[in-house]
Amino acid sequence: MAFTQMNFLMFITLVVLVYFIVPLRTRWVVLLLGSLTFYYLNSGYLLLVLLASIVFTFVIGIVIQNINDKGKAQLSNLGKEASRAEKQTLKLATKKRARLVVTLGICVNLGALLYLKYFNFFVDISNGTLGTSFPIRKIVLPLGISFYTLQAIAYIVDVYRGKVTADRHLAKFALFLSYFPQIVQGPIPRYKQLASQLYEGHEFDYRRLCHGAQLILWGFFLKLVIADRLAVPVNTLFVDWKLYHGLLMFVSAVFYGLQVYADFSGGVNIARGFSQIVGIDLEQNFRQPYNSRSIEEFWRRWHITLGAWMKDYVFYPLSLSKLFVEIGRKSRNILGNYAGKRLPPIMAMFIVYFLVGFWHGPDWKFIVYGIWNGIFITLGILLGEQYTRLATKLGFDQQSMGWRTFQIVRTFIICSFGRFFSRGESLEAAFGMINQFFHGWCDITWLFDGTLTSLGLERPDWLILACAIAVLFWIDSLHERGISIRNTIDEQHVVFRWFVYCIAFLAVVIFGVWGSSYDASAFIYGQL
Amino acid sequence: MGVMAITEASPTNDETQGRDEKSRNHVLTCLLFLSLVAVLLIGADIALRPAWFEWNNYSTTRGFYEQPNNTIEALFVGNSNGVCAFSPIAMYDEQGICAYNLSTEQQSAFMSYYWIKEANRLHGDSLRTVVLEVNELRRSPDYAYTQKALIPMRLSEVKLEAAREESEMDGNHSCLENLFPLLSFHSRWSSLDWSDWAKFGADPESYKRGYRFSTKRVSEAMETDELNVPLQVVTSTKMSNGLTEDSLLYLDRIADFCKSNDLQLILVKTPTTISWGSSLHNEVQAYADEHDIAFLDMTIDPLITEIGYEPPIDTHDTMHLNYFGALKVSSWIATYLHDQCGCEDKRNVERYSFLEEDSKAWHNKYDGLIRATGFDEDISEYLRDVCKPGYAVTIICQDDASKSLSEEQRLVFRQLGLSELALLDFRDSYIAVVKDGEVVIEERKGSPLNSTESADSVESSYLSEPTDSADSSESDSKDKEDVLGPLSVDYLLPDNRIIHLKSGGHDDGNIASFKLDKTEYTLNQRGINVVVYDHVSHAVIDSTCFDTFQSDRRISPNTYEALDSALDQGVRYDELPTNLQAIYRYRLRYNWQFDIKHSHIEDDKTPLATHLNMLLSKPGLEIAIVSSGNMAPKLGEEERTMLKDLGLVKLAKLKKRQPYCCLIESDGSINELTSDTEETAHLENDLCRITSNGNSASDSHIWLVTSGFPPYSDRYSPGLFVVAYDPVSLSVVDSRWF
Repeated sequence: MAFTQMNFLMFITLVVLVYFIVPLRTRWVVLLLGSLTFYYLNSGYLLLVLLASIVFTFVIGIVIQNINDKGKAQLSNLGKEASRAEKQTLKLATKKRARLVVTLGICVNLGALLYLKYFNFFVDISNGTLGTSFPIRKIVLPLGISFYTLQAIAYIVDVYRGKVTADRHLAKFALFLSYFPQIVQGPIPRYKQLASQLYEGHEFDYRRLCHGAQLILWGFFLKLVIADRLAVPVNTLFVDWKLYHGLLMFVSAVFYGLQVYADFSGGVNIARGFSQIVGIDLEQNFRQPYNSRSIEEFWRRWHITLGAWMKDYVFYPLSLSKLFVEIGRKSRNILGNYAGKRLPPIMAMFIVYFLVGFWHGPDWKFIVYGIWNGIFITLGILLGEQYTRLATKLGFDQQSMGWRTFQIVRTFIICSFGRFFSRGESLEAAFGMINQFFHGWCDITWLFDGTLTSLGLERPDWLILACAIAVLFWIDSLHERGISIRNTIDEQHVVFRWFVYCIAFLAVVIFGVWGSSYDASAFIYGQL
Repeated sequence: MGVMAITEASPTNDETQGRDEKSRNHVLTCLLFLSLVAVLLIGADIALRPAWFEWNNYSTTRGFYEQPNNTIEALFVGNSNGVCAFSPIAMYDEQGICAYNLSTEQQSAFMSYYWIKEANRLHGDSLRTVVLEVNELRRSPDYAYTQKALIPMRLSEVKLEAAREESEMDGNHSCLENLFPLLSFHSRWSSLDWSDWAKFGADPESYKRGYRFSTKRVSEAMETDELNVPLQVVTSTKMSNGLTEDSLLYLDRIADFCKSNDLQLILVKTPTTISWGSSLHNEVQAYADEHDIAFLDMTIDPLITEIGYEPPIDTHDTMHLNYFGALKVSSWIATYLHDQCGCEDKRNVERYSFLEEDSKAWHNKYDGLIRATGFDEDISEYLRDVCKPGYAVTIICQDDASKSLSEEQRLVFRQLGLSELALLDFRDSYIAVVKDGEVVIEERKGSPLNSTESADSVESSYLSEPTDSADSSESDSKDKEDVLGPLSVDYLLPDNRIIHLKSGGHDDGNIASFKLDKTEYTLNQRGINVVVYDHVSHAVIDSTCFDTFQSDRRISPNTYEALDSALDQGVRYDELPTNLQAIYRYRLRYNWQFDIKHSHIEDDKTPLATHLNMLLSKPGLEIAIVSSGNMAPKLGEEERTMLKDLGLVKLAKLKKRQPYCCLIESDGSINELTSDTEETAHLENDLCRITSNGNSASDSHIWLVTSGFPPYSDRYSPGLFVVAYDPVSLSVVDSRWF
């Protein structure tokens, strides 16, 4: 039951209706049952893997909480007369015990992810480099494991850090980890932000219903009109890349970038839209990423919740770890203050982007994709100041529109080249495509010689695509200027409002790529 | 929604009332908006759903629902063979039967079953007989055609059942998709065409009662060498499992349904024989016998003779009957229904007066056309018959069309408003369009042979309705007299289709063209080319040519009569017009096939010798034989003895991997060639070339030189090809592989 299927729409309609019919205090049960049903309908017996993860994480959370609580109780029992050293010893002992459990919790969750998602990748490496002959296993990946694993780890760490109190209600906790709109492709929520919203019942709110429905409609527009239409030429170009060359190669990467943006943000908008209707605010996962002026900014606007997770649970712990502090101290002695100070964060950043790449899939191309981004972010850290100084010296006004446009275009080009790695059929194909780009890159005859229509889309489809992408960027630009479209629509006369809704609805129904004549593509991030 | 807003707090009465009212308003707003969405969806569905005018689908299904309930007595279902074969009006005229033809394009047994149920739902009290055309039983349902038959069915328990069952059977399409076509057709926005506009307010022409009218004769359009000779006899006792499982399943259900509803089921095979053969006949016959159902196979004697079916004049292509064939079949079956099934004469029954109206409407529309296409030899009579409401008649001249025009004909042209045609001069270019009997375009241009100016072509556009075309055309044509190149006109038909017309006299491009949707419809021959377009049914219904250079009358459209008359006058084969040559060849082949099929060689133990014996027993043909590959092991002792007796000595002694060629002349003389040493053998005369290869089947050919008949090289396993052909017309009367 994909988001784009008719039965999904019927399913969420049913959930919404039942949600508002049952009493407030039991509304979370509707969401839980809906989530488990959704998961079961999509993954069958793999629901057990999710349930195991829920129970394990739940228990780990309670154990950590108990250790922390016990530690605190012991500390208060020591009384005022206890020495500082005694208190410190007790704190350390408590922390040590809790850390042990946290490590266990992370390892088991991560271990499950590594085994289910990456086992064959490691076997492949081992067989290729060490000459072993481990058999490749047929492993079915549970839906959303990449997302809920990160969610579970965040929860465990947050309990350990004392940021949240461990949940002592298994069923409610199960809802937190399995909440169906976001389990497929995020966003990756935090317990503190999401749990209480899920557990408390929300009253019906007409305005939220309208806003949620609008967001769902927009999500469908992005997914069905743009992403799935773009999927046709993108698949042709990336599969038969050897047949094409020059600028068209770059265009294929641009197309894929747009496809994945529309696809991913479309799915997230559907999830957010449904949640909004039932009174839950999910975090934003995109903030006009193609308006970014640097790669670092891009990753703050693209898949925001993943970036935030990496920052909180990988980057900072690494940067502040004893090892990295020591490395920073030593590197300052060897490399000088400027470079030495930057080395630890650069190393941590590289690790983060390696992980981001690796998280995307068990393939070398994803690792290179992560490193590609890491390189440009590192360059930004290392040369950012000099670069700014040079620009100032050359007389560029860094707040001018021209300069900003230049930065946006530059970031867009770098991002697009990165797409060769994330979408290429293999690492070899990705490099092959880049190589093809440099063969006759200035050749633009493909624009006129019928190549475009040979990619699987007819002329009217290209026209619709161009218009839809223009609408997407127009909406993005409005958001960038801080204009809330939904609030603006709210202010309009009901006739105009409904006219807009009808046009949008018809656009999705008529111009969307769906139905049996097309096999609507699965969400790209839903496959992670 | 009031229930939805349950809260755990305890608000005051005023607050509660206010909130309830607000909730009610919201519920109403939601309902209103959902209604608007539903209207939009229905609108999009109507706009994007194809009309399916072709094969009468639109008219058949919509016309069915216009019938008064409980009136239909005999129902016809099946595929396009049925659409073109059963004319309920002809049945009414013949026996006063109230029938309806619910056959649709490639209608599977599955859809036939549900249309029978639907007909029984609405006409349960009157329905007595169901006639199923069995040709489609050899195929499983194809979803595209199932949609064409299922989607126009009105929502009822029958449709719901059909939609559900289709989705279960198919597995690729949901039940919803069958009920809401928008799910399938929403992406048609980029391919909307004229039919999507024409469907709004389209006349379902319910008086046709499901029959698709066409007077086109296949012999006018194509070489009769391509025409299948009717089966005539059941040549084999074999059964090939040609009926699909799906078809058998639904045939069972049709039979059960008919039995339980007291309906008499009749299985019919209409006379065309493409995709039909002995094994299919045997299978259907066995089924009919087992279930005690009547099976009327019109491809074989005695029915084919009783009906009087003649493929060249009774079919409009190789598979479907034209009006003349349908009239024969419908008249015969009307009598059968009356005599055998108890269908009653409704001609003077007041409740059935609508049938008389249908019949009148039918005859008003088609009688003139039938006269014109079937009998008129004079262009003026033809135009008088076809220039009627409902038709757009285009008249286009090629080469010279004036030389033999008589004054009487010119007078009639003038009476019809075709003043320029009345003035037609030597080698003039000429285009006219007569819509609903009114001349809307008429342009003539003289031969530019003496002109000194040049231009590529003279172009006009009538994409909007001309107001004073007939008057203005005179001055226009004068202006264009000095310009080189054919006349060219674009015309917007009443159903918003655009036709591109071109006329060039002998010195002006020598062309006659009528292009609609990139398809050429004229015969593009010398004289006056006429194309008749039915703008209510949205189809070209006749295309013919009158060679008014040669004669003021064309050869009789009744080609059999014309051929006999020409042969009686002593005209030689090569002097006959092309269409008569084709008929000549067809008839020759027909007669031979009759004999050949009667020889029952398929079940013979010595099929080659039996076949050759039969061919040799009737002189007049030339026979070419080639051995391809190593075929000697296939010849049994008995067969070799018989071949020796026939005088084919070398064939009787053929050794392993020996090549073998043989030419038997029309006088019976045999010329055999084989070789002990060479891998290949080659033999030829003026008409035929034979190459045999003892090792390679694919390198062995028979090639009729002058006709360019393609070589027989499509078999790659060892065997013997026998081709029998008529040396006069060089038409192949039989080709067979052993």
